[in-house]
Amino acid sequence: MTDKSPKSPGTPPEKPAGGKGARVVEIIELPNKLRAKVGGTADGKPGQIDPAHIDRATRHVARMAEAHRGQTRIDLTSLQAAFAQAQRDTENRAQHLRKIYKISDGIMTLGRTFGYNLLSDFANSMNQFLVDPENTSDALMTVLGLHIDAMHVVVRDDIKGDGGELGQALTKSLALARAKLIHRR
Amino acid sequence: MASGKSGKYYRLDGLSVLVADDNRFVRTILITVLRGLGIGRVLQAESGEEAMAILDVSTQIQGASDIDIVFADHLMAPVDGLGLLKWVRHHDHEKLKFIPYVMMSGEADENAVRLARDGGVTEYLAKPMSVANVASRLLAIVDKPRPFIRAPGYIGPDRRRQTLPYGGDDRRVITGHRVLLEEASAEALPPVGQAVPEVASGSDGDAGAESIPVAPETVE
Repeated sequence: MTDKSPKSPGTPPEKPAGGKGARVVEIIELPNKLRAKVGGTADGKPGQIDPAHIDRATRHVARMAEAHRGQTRIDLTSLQAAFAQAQRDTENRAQHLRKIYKISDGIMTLGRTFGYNLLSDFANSMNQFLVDPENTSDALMTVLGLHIDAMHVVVRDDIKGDGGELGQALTKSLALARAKLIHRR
Repeated sequence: MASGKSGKYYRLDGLSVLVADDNRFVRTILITVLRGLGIGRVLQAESGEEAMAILDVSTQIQGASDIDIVFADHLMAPVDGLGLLKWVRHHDHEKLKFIPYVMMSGEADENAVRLARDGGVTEYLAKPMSVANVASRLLAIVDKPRPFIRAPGYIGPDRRRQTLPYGGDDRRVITGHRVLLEEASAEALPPVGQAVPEVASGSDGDAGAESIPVAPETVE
């Protein structure tokens, strides 16, 4: 029987039990240096991050909202260009779709961070179809184009949160387009 | 406290974090979040290769300059977050091999999540990014460390996070032994990915493989 409890330092590990064909697994107990470094209590109870520091981080991020808007416009321009290339250059479409995936991933990462929930949602939905860029079709390109157009609308109209009626309408129409594409597949 | 928390606020100013992301703006925002939360030192790498170089150098510096945590994006090229993770976990230096590693990725690619888990990721930061989810990953690393598992085909934190009861026998045919870090033997196992030799029968003639005594049974 193997011993599950940690042994004292310096004690050589006992020979693992098990017969012929057994596979050996080493379970290594690491000292929790990080916990000691951040001042964790000896009783092992979890601590917290100072709410004032969380507020500070939130404020610092909020200060970058204008930079985010600028960056998103740049990203959308790049996205549109990559999409146009993917439509034209069918031979290298997969390569262009990978680029679209990467740009869209950046948009998705930070949209919600700055209150543009729909940007993150639309980018994320689009990315579901870009995981396998070799598997493309005209119908897929149409759906991608619709998502990119919707992201443009979100930025143009500065739509935050769920976007109200317009946001819900965009969300529904994109969901319908995706459902049709999945049905075709 | 009734919640089971100590109520103590952690001091993060002694921590050093490496952020690896080839998207400059995303990297800037993550660094802003980490500094806002009080992380003392944040290093940045704009590619997987640059992260490797910084981490390699860190192994040669003693004491306060250690890097404590890596945040890396999954989608980087040519070395992506998974490639960097594998490089870290197979590094000769213990400082790197066991370093907490947070992979940042969207939910689109489920396979990427699986590969990161099987590559030895410590925590997963699901995009979109927020102050709350970055903070929660930091707390998870500090408060919920898992032992490292070194097995044929895997090295990384124990992939089982929950303990759930189940009926029946443990069907895993593996034998484990638990050691402290200083007892871990580099020679005890073949390198990850190589064929697993059979373990010779014990002198008592026991021919059966034994399960790790994990009762109550754990599941991933």
